[in-house]
Amino acid sequence: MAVIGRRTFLAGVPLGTTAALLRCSRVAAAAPNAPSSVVASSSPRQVLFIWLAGGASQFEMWDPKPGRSTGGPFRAIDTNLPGVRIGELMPKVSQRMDRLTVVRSLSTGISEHGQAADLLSTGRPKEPTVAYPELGVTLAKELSTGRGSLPDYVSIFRTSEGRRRADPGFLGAADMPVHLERSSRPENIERPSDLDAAQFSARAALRERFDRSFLADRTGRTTAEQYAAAQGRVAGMMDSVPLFDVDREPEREQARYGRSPFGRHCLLARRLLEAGVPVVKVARGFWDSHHDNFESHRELVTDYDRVFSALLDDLQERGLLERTLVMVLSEFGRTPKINKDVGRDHYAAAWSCAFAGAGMRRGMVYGKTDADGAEVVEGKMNAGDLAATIFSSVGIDPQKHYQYGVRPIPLAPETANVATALLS
Amino acid sequence: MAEATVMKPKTPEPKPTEPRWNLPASGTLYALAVDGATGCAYVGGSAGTIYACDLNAATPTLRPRMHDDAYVAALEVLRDGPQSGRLVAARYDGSLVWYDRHDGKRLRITTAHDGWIRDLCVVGDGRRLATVGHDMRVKVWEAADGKLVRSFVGHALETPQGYVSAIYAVAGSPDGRYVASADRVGEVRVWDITSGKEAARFRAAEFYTFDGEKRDRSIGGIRRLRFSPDGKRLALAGIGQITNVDGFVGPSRLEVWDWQTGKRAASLQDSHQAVLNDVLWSSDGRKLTAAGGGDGGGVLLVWDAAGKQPEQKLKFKGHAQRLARLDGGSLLLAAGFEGVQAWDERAWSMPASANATKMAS
Amino acid sequence: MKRYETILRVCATTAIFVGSFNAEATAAEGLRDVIDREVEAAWQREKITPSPPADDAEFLRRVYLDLAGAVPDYDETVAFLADKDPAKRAKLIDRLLDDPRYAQHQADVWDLLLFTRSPPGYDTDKREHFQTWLRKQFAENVPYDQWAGAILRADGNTVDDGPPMFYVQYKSKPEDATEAITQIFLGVQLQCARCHDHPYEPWKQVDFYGMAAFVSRLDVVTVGKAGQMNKYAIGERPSGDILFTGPAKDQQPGMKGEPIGPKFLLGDAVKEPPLPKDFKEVKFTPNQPPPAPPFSRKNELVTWVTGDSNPYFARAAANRVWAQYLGRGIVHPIDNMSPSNKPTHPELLDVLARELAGHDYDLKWYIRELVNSRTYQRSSRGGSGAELPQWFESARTRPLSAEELAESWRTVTGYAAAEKLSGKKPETSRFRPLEGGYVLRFFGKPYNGVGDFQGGLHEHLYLNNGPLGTVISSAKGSLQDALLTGSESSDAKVDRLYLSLLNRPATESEREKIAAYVAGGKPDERWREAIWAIITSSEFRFNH
Repeated sequence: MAVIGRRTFLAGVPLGTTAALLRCSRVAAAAPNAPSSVVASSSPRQVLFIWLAGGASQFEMWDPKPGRSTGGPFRAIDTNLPGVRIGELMPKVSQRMDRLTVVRSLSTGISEHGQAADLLSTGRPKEPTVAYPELGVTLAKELSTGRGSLPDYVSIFRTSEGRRRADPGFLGAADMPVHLERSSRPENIERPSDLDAAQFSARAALRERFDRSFLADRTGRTTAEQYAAAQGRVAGMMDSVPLFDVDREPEREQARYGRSPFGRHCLLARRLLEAGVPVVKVARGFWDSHHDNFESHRELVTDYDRVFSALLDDLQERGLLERTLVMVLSEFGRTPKINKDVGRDHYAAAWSCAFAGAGMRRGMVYGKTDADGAEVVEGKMNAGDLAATIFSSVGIDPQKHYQYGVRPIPLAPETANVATALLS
Repeated sequence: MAEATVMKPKTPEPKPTEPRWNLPASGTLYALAVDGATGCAYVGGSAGTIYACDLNAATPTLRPRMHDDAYVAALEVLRDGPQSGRLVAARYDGSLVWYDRHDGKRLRITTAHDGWIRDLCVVGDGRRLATVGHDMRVKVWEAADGKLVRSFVGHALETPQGYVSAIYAVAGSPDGRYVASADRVGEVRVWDITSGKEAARFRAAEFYTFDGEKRDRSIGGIRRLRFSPDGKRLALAGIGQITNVDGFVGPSRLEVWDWQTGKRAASLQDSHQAVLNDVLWSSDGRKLTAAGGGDGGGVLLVWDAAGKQPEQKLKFKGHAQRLARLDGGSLLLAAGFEGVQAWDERAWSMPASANATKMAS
Repeated sequence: MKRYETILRVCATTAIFVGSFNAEATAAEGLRDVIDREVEAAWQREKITPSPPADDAEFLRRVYLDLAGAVPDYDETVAFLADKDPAKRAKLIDRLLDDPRYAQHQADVWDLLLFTRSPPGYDTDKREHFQTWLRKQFAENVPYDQWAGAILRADGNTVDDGPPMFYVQYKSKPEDATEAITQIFLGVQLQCARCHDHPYEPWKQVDFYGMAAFVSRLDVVTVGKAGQMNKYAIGERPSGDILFTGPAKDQQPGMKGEPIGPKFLLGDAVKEPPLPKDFKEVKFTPNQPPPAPPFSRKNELVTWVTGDSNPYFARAAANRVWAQYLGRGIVHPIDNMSPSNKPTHPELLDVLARELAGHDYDLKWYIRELVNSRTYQRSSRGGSGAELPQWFESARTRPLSAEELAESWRTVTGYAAAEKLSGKKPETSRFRPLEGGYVLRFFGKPYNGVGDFQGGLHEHLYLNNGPLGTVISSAKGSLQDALLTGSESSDAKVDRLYLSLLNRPATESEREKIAAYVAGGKPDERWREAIWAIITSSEFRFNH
């Protein structure tokens, strides 16, 4: 009886997916505090985190439902993966799907911007007594080589809607990313205009001499020493100014990314990744299309298609795609129902995200929604599962703990399941 | 905020109004055409279905007549000659389709544009049709045989900031000589069908919002344009400067241009937060009736074409995409979200208290 | 689990009511003497060599920062160092405790604790009325149990009164309010018990929800406006229960759960009078003060939290304030006073808690005893190198807060003096002339979640290349002006530099270094650079 039952269960379900689900449940069943060994076999060493703030529509991008009342006006197009179709606004991406991993089965529960952004960017709902670090912060901490003068995490966000600073939470200021907000160059990275280079270094040398005598016999010298040592990184950081200047790229490179800020920021991200920055985040805002959803997505996805394709090609040509996980997330997706203003509202029950590069299994579409895109019918993942899977894909044990006071805090929630089928 | 450059007369809140009919349909209706000869209206939209409606019936209803998968962007009824009674539909799949309106049969199908067709109009006496589409071309067709007469190229594919643009609207002059087209960045071009040349060009920049500093989005656009009955002026409908991108929040806006001189004759903006998707001239060319919807809710505005403030400002449930009038009559139809609504325009000339009925439910 | 509960009860009883005979204060002894006796006894036991006593300069800077939230200016420094009165330290302490800056500084400390640097919205960023109220409590030295009770009772509204703002931040989140109340006022961390029974502490999930039940009926009600600012009051519904559905990992959609009634942490359940038969659920009307419920769970909680019958309140307060001055708690971390986290000086903690309660929670008295102790007045020189010495054998090192830095920079550079001299009305920002948002961003969160100092690259970039230069004033009355235009000898100028910036005389070698540096370039530039080098140095960054 049991054998027949299992065979019946398997009938008609793609084998890979089922196996993945079975493996997921095994991971979940393991003791929550026991370190699990679910990590990707060849781990990326860098991460590019693309954040589509406001909530990009899965219908117009990764999970089209043409011909359904929920589907909207856009067609689905074939991709270079047999049987896989995506929205027509991404013709360039469609020819690069073999380098992508798409998850169509996110179900994350919270559909209010701030709370959902906290949830997706930390893997947990916000709590008043513990500020969890944003995913990129944790990734940067784990992937940091501890060498060189470059920051471990650079976060680029210029438009006002993407402007949520990646919060180091309980990890604190030492793990705070370098935020590029007002310009594409880190703040306070240039020497004050009233000092020449000689004055600048003379002043710094004097300060260092004071520090040395103060630290000599002091309580708390370890802390103070670390503080003084950070001053030593200032000069190196200041030397990296040219790295932040995308105008140094050849015309051809600038042209293929296009002139939109998102394109320029992705080009900058590539420069930073190439220079060895472990984690870079690029945010593009104003996806929150409560009105005129299709006009919005024609504009935004078209730009996304061009920029993201250029980025994939560029990363590949430079060999960076082999060592970089690219992840594309929003706080949620958009409603199946098209509202009176031809908009789509917030929807967290069934939506999509995408990955590219190293860490995740390439050319895979994971999970499935129903015909109208209203429910997840296969491979459901919540925000914790997603975070755990991301950590696993870059070779970090999601159940590794940070000690927060007396409280051991795993990187991903204890209850999170790793979707092992996604791992490369 | 850029208050100084935008005229924002403070007008009273819109008065609630109840339509004479409310004919429900699923999804959003973008297309509406009325056959004055028969008193029949045709509508279509996101569901792909084209419905017919006998306006002379005691209780008019929408009856599905033709169906295709792609959205219906616009419909026109051909009136004169052997084509009389044929229905032409423009669709988002780029196809222009001639139907027999009696049996619903497809008579001809032409791939008119690469990408969506956004608008369709009859030019002059009805011998010709004009279309605009996502390929940013303006095309003129023989109504009788579907032959391409002209294909005008000029509207930029991208906005000045490099984002994809769109032509939303096309209109034909009453004498059949010109077609006018309008796009996302507020550019209007008038084309001479006879010579095949551009006859005029101007930019109504207030319809386009770009705020690179904070938002970096190319939004807004002229959503409809119509020639005045004497053919000298163009009325443009859309939305003024947008303050909230996500909600597409901005003031409802009309402009009237003397297209031959390239001068703006009137700038009509109301504080009601909505996009005006369509506008109609009165037969004497003195009044404009516009409708739309958005953050402030559905709105119907009646303006003196030279005035500053709307004479009527009516609120209704929904969001209107396209307007039509039954020829010679005073029945105003609006197709939009989940159906068609119809009003008797004569009710608005009565004292305010008479038409302050409860909101449509 | 039951076993732990018993153990805790015994521990608590022993701690409060039996105490230690050794630690008893004799009639002649002040609390400061008990502190020193207990701490020094521990050194003997642990074979620890303490640091020497702090010299006057070290004490002066430390006590100013700890009591007034800023360093002393040049004149105050010179006067104190020259003073021959053997009681000058005690007198300075008395003076600072009566300084308006004491109330401001305490209000800063508690406001940060109650709201953190980034409270969760609902207008909690506009809480100046709460802050004003808090400052008043310290200025008038209102007993701690009274003002803590007022915060939890939340009478009135957020504008005319202030206290309700604390609950506003936990709008619709009774679980979050419960975690905060127990952690702040009882020194107990219950958050693990929110989702499952605690693995190694006595509290279970039902204990957590028993506490949450006291605040689960609270609602935030808008009762009016003051200008652009909403006035909020806290309403309490007469009915409604928390439904408990078991461990978070076993949650299923549609689970209904059992109602959990109010029960004090490891204490008694509260008996509620039944609701009248004709009871109708109350709906709060906007712009009207919410009516009091026939039976207030919240007020039961206030009475219990601040009363004698709970074993946590006095100990938590005594330990928290101790840590504010001595660096670490006798139980450390201070908000984790669980049975498994043992105090280093258990008898001393008993005495501190009992004496604080016995003095009617007079915080000024308590702080005066702490800072008058020899223990507080140890040097931070020598020692083990640990930041927060476990046996209090050396003074702790702590970073200055954003507010302390801004105020201190203004004081030491003479920016404040020049501002006063100019007669112009100064800007109102506490961070002037620097941008408040920036100062808070770079210096506002000096610790990570486990209390480790986190001065990083960002901070140094700000100090090196940011607008800090604007505070190094050269206007009349400023330090730079005095150094450039004064007729003093070079040595006297270097002394002025050090007494101004670090509140101590320069050492011989420092005199030489500075003299050589100033001689190496244009004097105005060089003096300015020297000021910069000192006010960005570690010695300035920390309170030691």
